[in-house]
Amino acid sequence: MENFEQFSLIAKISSIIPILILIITMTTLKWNGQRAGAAGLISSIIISFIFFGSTSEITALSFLKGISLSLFVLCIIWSAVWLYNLTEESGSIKNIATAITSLISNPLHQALIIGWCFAGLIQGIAGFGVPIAVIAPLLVIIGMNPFKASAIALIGHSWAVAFGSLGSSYYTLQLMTNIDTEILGPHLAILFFLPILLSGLAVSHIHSGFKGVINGLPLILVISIIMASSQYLATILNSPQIASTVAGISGCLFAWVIANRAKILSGYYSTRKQTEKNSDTKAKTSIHLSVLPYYLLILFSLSSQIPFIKEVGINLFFAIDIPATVTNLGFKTNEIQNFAKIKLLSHPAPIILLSLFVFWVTNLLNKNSNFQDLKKTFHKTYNQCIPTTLTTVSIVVMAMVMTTTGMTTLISMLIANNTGSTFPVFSPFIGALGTFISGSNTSSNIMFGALQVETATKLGIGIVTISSIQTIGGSIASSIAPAKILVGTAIVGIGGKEGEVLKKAIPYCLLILLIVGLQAWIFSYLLKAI
Amino acid sequence: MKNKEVLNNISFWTLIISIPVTYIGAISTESQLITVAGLIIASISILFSSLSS
Repeated sequence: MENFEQFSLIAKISSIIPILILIITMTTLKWNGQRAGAAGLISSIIISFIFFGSTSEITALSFLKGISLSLFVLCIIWSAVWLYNLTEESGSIKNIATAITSLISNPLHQALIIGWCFAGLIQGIAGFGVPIAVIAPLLVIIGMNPFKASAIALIGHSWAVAFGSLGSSYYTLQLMTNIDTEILGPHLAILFFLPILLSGLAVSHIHSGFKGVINGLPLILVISIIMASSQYLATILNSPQIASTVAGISGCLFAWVIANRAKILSGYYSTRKQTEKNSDTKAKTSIHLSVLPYYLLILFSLSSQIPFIKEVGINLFFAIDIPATVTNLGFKTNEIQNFAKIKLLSHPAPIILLSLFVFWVTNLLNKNSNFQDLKKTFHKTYNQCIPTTLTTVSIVVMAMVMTTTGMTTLISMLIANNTGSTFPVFSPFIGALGTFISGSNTSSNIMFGALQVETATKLGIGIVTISSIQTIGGSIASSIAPAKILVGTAIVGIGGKEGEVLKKAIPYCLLILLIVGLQAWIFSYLLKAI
Repeated sequence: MKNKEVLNNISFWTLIISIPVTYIGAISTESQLITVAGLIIASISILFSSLSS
């Protein structure tokens, strides 16, 4: 869309309206996701016909694209909610809560270790909404309010998205920008120190306000240095695909040691271990059985990355081919083969379902479950997930209407062309826009990676910095993407109240994006970074 | 509450029906009539979804 000047001022303004409608109706008017999503979708279709030259064929293809993408997310939501319901039905959730609270007694430390470090570790391995599906209910079962739990899971995992899902977003950015991974990886890791620190501070602020920030500051600072250094180390060792995982593991480990240093130094654990050995082996077995679904989830996620399994599963997928489109104003989208591919051996949903099945069979053998439990929890899942499904579809179809008719590109080009030397400050917001719309940092990098590099080249500033900022913006915006929020609200039983979670997460996300933008400006103009 | 569930169910199943109809119209047969029919069914789903909230 080189000649974007062809659009009238009203068209330029109207391109942002569907997003504004979605945010305002959810946060200010407190509409639930279904109604807000429908309003956003209807407005995007009307605007696309009036100002962007859309046709019924383009709307239908946007609808099918939206359905395919929704299916990708919804399979995760349905299977994760079912797994959670079955775990709860078996009584395991209570056991997990007791175990966590006995291991880490300080509630703020619990929030930080689970909602920030462990969330990053899960994002590193699985991604695609799984961290929210695992972390939010864990926080609820240790006694946290579901709104706080969802917001913490959303903000807490966002630092790990760019290198997460075993590097899928990172490698997409690298492909789109054509920058060597030896250069891009370490540079991105350096720029990530600040977002890691800020997301930790945000988690403690959501948990207990400024008091939490002050109390948690020493722990957050040390853990941020450890996690950022681990990420940097992984990238200079040319293993960016495990950067978030390594950072998450080291963060969890050090946070636990620091939070329990008094107990460790006094020999509390060895004494307790001895007592447990003597008295309560049954309880220990029970806790491992309770955590079994999450052990399995990690095990199967890692197994899906084994080259042999990858090769076997290469042709086992579900996807549709989308033809090329051209609007009446000449905006083109290319033909896409195998759009939003659901790989049967590596997509999170089959992995979650397999974990669920093995967990259920284990419980069945222990006479702790029966077929009725499976049926009952599926029925509960169905009722919980229908509203979430309808909301997801309307929001994702809205996003696809905006992308296919050029509205999203116009918004990003308006930012890129009107900001001049302040462009680095706005650069993370472009990455964030892509993730907000699509629910995926990978998609954001596909949409805007090349545009960011092009703008940086025109302005004569470092393309490596701006490329990194693109994916950092996309990563942080995972905390406010409706597709991710829906996973959280569905699983902790507050479906329909997505607006309240969005309202809680949005100030932290915007503040982090702004600081990341200022960091980008300093790197670009003061430090003249590459 | 019961009404809400009924409307949600209608919306959900209407949406499910609209998918193959739109797919057949827009991709398989490239028939504008079937495409529009699919979109109308999808619009009914959105309508019921809004009404249920």
